[in-house]
Amino acid sequence: MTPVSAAEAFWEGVKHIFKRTFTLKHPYQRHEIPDGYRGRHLLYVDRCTGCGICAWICPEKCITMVSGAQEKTYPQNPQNRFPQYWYIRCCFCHFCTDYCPTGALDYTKDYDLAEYEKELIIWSPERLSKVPAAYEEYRTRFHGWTGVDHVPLSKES
Amino acid sequence: MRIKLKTDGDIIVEATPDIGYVHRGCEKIAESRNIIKNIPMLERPNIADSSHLNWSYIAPIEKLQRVEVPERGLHIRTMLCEINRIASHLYGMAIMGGIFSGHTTMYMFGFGDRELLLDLHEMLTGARMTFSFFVPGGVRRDLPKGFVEKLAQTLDYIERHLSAIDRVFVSNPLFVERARGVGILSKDDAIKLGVVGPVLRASGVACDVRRDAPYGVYDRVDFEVPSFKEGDSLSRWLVRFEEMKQSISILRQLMRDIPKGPIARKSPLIVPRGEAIGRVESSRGEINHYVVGDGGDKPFRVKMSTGSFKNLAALPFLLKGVRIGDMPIIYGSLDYWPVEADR
Repeated sequence: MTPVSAAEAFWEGVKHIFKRTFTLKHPYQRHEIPDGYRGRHLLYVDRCTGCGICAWICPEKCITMVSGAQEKTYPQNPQNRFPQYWYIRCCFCHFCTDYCPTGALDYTKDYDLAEYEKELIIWSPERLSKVPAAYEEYRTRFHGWTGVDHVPLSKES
Repeated sequence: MRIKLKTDGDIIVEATPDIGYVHRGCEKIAESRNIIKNIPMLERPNIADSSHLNWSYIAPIEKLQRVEVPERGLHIRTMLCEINRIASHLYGMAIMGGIFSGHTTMYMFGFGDRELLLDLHEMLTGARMTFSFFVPGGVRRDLPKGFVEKLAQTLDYIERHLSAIDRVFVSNPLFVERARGVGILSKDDAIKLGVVGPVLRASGVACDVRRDAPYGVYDRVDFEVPSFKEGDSLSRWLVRFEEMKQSISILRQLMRDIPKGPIARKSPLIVPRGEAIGRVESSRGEINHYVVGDGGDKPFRVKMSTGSFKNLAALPFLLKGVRIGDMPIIYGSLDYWPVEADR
């Protein structure tokens, strides 16, 4: 064992006292999520024709086509059939979004889908059509030897 | 997985790995789903290294369909695979190297740096792991705006931080003393046991599918295949460490000239009659998917052969005659992924 390389390894740890904080305090500070992130789905009820291709391509069989969930009927969807997602099964591959012929499904940046009750994890078409609330995001910044830190997007110059 | 040991005092006389606890029958399920629905399932066996499993499954289907992937599509595939390889090696070094040798700093360093690579995955594919990104005919998305700049920044940072990992872990005398000369696998034994990937290269056989049977755009980039003669646990980690540096160099070459054009071609949703095999070098060794088609939309048969299962053959051999205290180091150096082996 060479004392020089042991001291180098120790010094590498000590240097971190002077480096920037790498971590984020997650529920209060959220990391920036890029566009096209495959979070939960967004349903445009005015575009969905109820064809059921999303339910057919879903590898986990988490989509069920339900009828009569919407009070209002849409002209392009006379049968009033819309997808309902069972998020226990969803693997977020988003093949449903890619295969949708009318572009009625979209990506959102919403990923906090845990619920306290089992029934709440089934998302009705009405709930899927709501746009998730925005929150402040923190972007990763690279510095020289001081490492990496995160800065809120609003304060970024 | 568990390992049954017969010991004589502190010395291991016989070791039997007992696998199969996470077997889920991927191959059988694959026969009842169409080729697109199989993509998310067949990449799940190794979530830290899913792009390679995905490519290995897609390649034989493309061969059967006679679909040529456009140059830009191949380029994006190769880029994602190399980013994934660095992330997977960092994960392996953090868990199998750091935790199994009681090195908490390496654990933190590995996971911290991997986070930046997961951000790149997220930007390109929309998912942090298990991308389902390669489909027959190409890839699902084009490179997003600002991706190349962010990749360049991240690679600069990772390259700088690899020297810190070198000082803290790979050259740290406390780790080197534990790993050097432990679990020696000679060149002949490695060939006889049929190990693959970094374990084979650490025993002095410079065998890499990326160089020997190039796929993607690997025939157009310059890279070395690192190999060591010692065949001990330390050299198995050194191979992975050097491979990360090579991946950074490959990514820099790929970034320089990205071809223009389409990212995917249309491909039919059927597997034509015939059989084909895909060969991909993942971070845990060679992965093969053997696909038989009968003209329907579902494959008639899918057979997976993964690096972790092949490397596990060396474990009973390596553990014979060593002390129990050396077992975590030897097991960790194989970078074994149970789900990939059980499938």
